[in-house]
Amino acid sequence: MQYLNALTAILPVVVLLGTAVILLMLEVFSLGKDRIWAANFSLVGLAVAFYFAMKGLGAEPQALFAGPGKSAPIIADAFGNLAAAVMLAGAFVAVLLSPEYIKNARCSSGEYYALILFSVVGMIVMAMAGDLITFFLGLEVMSIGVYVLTGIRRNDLRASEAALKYLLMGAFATGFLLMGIAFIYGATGTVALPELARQMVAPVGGAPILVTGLVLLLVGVAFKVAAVPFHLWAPDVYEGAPTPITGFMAVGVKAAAFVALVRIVAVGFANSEESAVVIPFISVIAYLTIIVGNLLAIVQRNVKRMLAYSSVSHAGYALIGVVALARGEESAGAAVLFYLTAYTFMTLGAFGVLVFLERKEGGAESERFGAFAGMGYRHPALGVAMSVFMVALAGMPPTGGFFGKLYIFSSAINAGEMGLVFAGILGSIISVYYYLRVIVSFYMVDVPDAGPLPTATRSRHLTAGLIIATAGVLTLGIFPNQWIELGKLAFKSLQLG
Amino acid sequence: MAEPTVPIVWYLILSVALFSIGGLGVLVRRNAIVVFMCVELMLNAANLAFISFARLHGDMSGHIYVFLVMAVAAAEVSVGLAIIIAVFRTRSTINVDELTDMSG
Amino acid sequence: MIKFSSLAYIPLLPLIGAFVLGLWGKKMERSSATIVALSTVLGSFAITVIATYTMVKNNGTPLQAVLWEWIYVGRYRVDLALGFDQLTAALMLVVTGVGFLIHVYSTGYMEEDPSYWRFFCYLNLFVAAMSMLVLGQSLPVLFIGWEGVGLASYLLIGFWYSDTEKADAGRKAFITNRIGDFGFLIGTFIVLGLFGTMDFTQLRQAVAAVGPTDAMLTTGIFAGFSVKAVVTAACIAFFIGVTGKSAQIPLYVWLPDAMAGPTPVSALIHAATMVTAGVYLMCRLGFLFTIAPDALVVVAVVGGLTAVFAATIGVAQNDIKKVLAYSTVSQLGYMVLAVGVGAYTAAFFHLITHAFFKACLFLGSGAIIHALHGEQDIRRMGGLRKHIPITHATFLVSTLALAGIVPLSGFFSKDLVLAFASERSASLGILGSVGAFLTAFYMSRLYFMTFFGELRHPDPHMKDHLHKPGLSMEIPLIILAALAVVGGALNLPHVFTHTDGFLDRFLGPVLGTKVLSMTATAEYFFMAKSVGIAVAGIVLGYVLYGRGVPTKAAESFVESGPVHGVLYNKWFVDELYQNTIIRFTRFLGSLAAMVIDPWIIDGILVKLSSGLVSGSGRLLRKPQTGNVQSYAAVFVLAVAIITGWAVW
Repeated sequence: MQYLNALTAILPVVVLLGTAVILLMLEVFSLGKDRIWAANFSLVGLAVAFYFAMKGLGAEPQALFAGPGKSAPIIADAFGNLAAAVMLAGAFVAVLLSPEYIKNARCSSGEYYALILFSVVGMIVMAMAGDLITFFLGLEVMSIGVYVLTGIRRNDLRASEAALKYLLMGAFATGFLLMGIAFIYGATGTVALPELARQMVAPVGGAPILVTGLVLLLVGVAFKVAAVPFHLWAPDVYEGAPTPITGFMAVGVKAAAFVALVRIVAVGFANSEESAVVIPFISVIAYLTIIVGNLLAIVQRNVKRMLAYSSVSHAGYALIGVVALARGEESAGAAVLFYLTAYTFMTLGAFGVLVFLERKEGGAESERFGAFAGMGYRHPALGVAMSVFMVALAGMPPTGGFFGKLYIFSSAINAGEMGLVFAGILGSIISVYYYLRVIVSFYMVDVPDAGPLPTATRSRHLTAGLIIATAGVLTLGIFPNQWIELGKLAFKSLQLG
Repeated sequence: MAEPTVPIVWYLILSVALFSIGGLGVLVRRNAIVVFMCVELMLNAANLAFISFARLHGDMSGHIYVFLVMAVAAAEVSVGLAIIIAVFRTRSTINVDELTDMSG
Repeated sequence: MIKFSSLAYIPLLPLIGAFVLGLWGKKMERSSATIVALSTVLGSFAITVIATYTMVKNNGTPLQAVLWEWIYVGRYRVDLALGFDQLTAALMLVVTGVGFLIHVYSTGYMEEDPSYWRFFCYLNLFVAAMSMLVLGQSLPVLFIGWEGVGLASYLLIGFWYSDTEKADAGRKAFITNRIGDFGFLIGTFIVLGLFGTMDFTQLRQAVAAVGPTDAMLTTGIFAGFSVKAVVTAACIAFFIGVTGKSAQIPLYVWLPDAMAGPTPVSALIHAATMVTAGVYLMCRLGFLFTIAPDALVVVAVVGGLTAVFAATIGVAQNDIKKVLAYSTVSQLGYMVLAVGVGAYTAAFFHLITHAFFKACLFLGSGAIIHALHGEQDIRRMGGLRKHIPITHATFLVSTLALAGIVPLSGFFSKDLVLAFASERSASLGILGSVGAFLTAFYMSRLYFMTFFGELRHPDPHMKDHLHKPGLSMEIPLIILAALAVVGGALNLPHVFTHTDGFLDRFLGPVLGTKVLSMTATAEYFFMAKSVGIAVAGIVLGYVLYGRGVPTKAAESFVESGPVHGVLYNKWFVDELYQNTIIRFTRFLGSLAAMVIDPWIIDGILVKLSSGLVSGSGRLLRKPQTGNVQSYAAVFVLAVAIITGWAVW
């Protein structure tokens, strides 16, 4: 009975699981060929879950499923709910982008949407994880779903290759992550975050084991967010995966990993001398990620791959916030949340435009810069939307991307991390080059006849997805303060719990 | 209960050794299935570490974690094998060296 | 501060109007487009009146509306907040009131234009941006409006964009204003760096809290400078912005060219409202300029010179709108001069009266141009007095007001400015008087050549098919002319009423009060002198042009000859800019093209940096082999290095 009550505190998860299971059951009856109904059904589930997540913002932090005398594995607080809301919004847009792609790529299968929902469940569990094992479980639930989604176009060479690479590398990284958790458990005798914070204050024996554990844990997270030098899988996987799933991966997986990292750093590493040894390590990864991500994005000829590297570099900017947070700068927590929100909308938007433009046959050819020549004139609304996303990704006002960077950098300045801010600004400047290149290829070059165009089938879902993404990017740019205040409130709940 | 006859640290050494063998296998073996099995070896090494540490701390939760990890690993294996089959169907090979369509 | 959230609707209504017209205007009936355009501006006017009433009823406590919290970074906070105090009220009544009249007038003037809806879309956009500028409670919000009016002005000048010359004029306005905007931004940053805030209320408090202004700053980014020096730099930077927006030397060149736009635009934007934004900015920041006396000297001198300089050019122009344009530049000079001598209320008084009579003059010129089917050259006009009597009457009244004939509004405001100027320094007074004489002269020249004598249009039948202005054009003219007559009552001189003028009292809380120190006798004498100068100018005009055509003397001296050449060609300033700045820029450009570009930029910077970037990009691509095992190897290597580094 007590556990049943606990379920009401995590209604978003319950709703998603229910929706996904019903979807799988209905799939048995193969209702219709195009499975638009499946998309619509999951949209409803996501919307309801989103509603409950937003409602949970006001509730008191609740520690759930705790055994007698044990710490709680799930903590439903404002932070977890806000993060869940962001990821649900991302999944919502990703589902909206899907029907058009599925129709073009002829990879219709009902479990597609159920898998997205299952992955989101994993993400929410990560965001609310009160201990490292729960975090691990959430991470695996999320990852396994995404492995399958990556390879869902079974007969496509690139997709199956991407899926195998992702699976092998992902499982490999999981091994390190798990070993890290085992070491931390060995050194401190606990995996619960608040307990960990207490244990690490007292001088613990076997410091090398603890440090190794912390490093391996962070390596596992760095892999998931595709931080350099653990990013090598990302471009290949992003390129091979179905475009809406690439967007979903770039956004949801990254957001979940960052949110969990923020919770681990803020709760588990609070006031801890021991954990301070890993800060320079996060800093170095942040430097490498920003610089390498941007440099590699410049040399790309394929827009999808360019966006993959761009998403690598954005992980670097968010890592700046994590470093500031680890240095004790509390405004950084809200800044990272804000950044992830803005990033969710602008990245999904960019991939959405890509879905719109890809040729029926798919293939790498339709993703090159040249293939977009003159699109801005042929599809004016699409051109405007893509310009908004690129300007936002480059971090220019009046978009959410600008304020995201502003908040991250200002929290880093407060934390005294001038070097990282400098690297971040340098990276942003480099990035302007390749983002603007997309806009240029949209508007400046007009090829008189670019062959048979993407049959601009006006999918209502895709249009709605692009509108939501554009509105999100601009709203965050015009009303940034409301969201950052919400983030600050959510972050406070983290310290209460 | 008597003192353990084998010191905990030996279990840890075994665990790290297993982990390294698994990691090395991932790097050098060419068959995707074998590579995948090596990854599973790494997970099991971590399991061993969990159990030894649980014993060290006299804390039962460590044992429970191992069950959770095994469940996860099982799910991962089933998905992994399915993906390997899909690759085999499209390319008639599961040699990881030949899976280099995308690079750069 | 009283919360008054309806303030938001003042800019919002016209913005919605612009939005609706922009999206659906093309498909709309002309009448419904008119309703949208007019009703939104009328709504803004109504709210302005209510807000003014509310404020006055509450003993002048300013109203405020925070639309939303905008940018909060560290200790810097900027809300999107609108404020409404006496200064705002005065200008907003002009902007929305005169703006509405000009909207009404435009329905007649633009009747036959195919892009009717587009015109009103831009015009509504302008009113929205201008309201934002005036209501903005902090420098960034004001700047949104500042840029917005610039954009609207650019769009409207180039409204007939198919004509290259007109599109070029739009571009010239835009570029010149960008130079000014740069000054504005620099000023904003200096203020932010010094006082840590950009909000006007907080700035005023911060300035009031500054002790002796000569003291050196010891902390902050301006350590080592005195407060006075830093504030002076900020004020000069703002003034550069003002010279752009309010068309002062040296950035005035765009305003005469801006006459390429439709005439109602010239009336609304380039006479009554937008160009006064610079004067408004200086009044708003008056507390800042007051502690920077050196900056004020610069302001006063530039204003006085502009007043005379532009007036001389106005004497020799033949395009009716060009004459009025130079007159506007000249009158703006008077306002800037007034700010420079610290007489902010006088500047604002002149701003308001000028809005009335100059808008009336522009609309009148529009009616004339409309009547003559687009003819703008006054040498081809004449005798119009009989044909368009109402336009003539309103034009005459406004001309006299501009010339400064007692008791019309222009007399009071200009006299006040001149009195303050001559009290500050005799030479500023002389500059002002010379300008006043020239103003009276070129306006009477314009008036007589347009309305007297016989019609000289090359088309002999023009007389028979004149395009008579309709009611929609005449009613605004009459209202504006009436305002031009009675506007002086806003601020009657102390010597007349033995009490402070209405504006003095109304704006006092914001702008402070400054009274003339001269005796009553001296003041009466000064007024007599002003009127005498104006009458002299008009008499000279009558003698030379009284018959509607230039007399021989005028023909040989004003209409031709070396003086004419210099004045007609606007002192060759455009050529000067062309030959110095633009040519220098071109020279730099070609230097860049031949030397810097291929060698330094291309060679060193681009090739090197792009080589570096793409080279390192290529290098970094190396690990990206596509082979999953090499990825794992890099992974293991990185873990080994990091763990080793962390543990040992």
